[in-house]
Amino acid sequence: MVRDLLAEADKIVDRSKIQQSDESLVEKCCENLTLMVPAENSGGSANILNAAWKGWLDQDFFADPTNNERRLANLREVILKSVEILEIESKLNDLP
Amino acid sequence: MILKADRIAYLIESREPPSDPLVITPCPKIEEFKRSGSASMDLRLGCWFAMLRPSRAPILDVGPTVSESLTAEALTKLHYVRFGDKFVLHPRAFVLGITLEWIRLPRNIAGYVTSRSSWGRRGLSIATATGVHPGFTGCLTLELFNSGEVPIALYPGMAISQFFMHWVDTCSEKVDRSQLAGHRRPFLGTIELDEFARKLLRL
Repeated sequence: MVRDLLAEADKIVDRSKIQQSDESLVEKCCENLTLMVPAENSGGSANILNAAWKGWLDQDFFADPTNNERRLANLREVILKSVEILEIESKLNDLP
Repeated sequence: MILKADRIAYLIESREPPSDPLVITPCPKIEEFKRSGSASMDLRLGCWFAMLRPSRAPILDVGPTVSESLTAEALTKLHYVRFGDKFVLHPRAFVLGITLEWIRLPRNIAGYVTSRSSWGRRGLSIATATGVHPGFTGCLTLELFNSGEVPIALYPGMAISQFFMHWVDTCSEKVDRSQLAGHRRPFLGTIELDEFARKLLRL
């Protein structure tokens, strides 16, 4: 049952051409996020979200321990700013 | 010593030291910025605005009997303005804005944000609390006030302020983790009476 569901989910993802994450870009996003800086040139929201997931799982995610005291609130701010920066980058790249 | 464009550009590009770099994102066109020879960097207006709701509090009182209605959430109303849309700031009106840029200062650099003169001459003041401490990370909240006679249209993305940076003489181990750091939207913050003031109030 679970296997069938996973296979069906894979099919849906393939059909909809949802962007897959790229591990090297996820790492690059993480490098910024651990410094409490939004991701730049992230290559897409999939990479940002995967980096966010790593941050959510890791209690000591931020390089500066004081940032881990409000880890989830800090993570939320840098992740949402990363998405905003992704929007800005895509708008600028669309320009002639 | 105030940092000039070429030095700022070097620090942004090199990301040195990797554990404590200067980061400004989204970053300006670095080559153009280097050539400008400027002693400051222009900062842009972000998409978020926070208006104070005067009807919620008859008086701003930070005394010992502060009511719940004076929390930042109760006092402000957030507005998101998309790129291409505008926020109109009427004469004598005050609103909190935010820089588009997220800034991370290393432990040996401090900064201050000021108005651009071209806007100041049109009646728009940008910030009154301008200092940014070493180690700060986040977007800068701007206190926008129209002291002119006509409404001013504010567009997210436009260059609205300038940011000066300078070295600090000793590199502090402690960094700015104030309540104002780490935000992407305008943040009112809280005001609390310190022990000094509390003692005086009891007199």
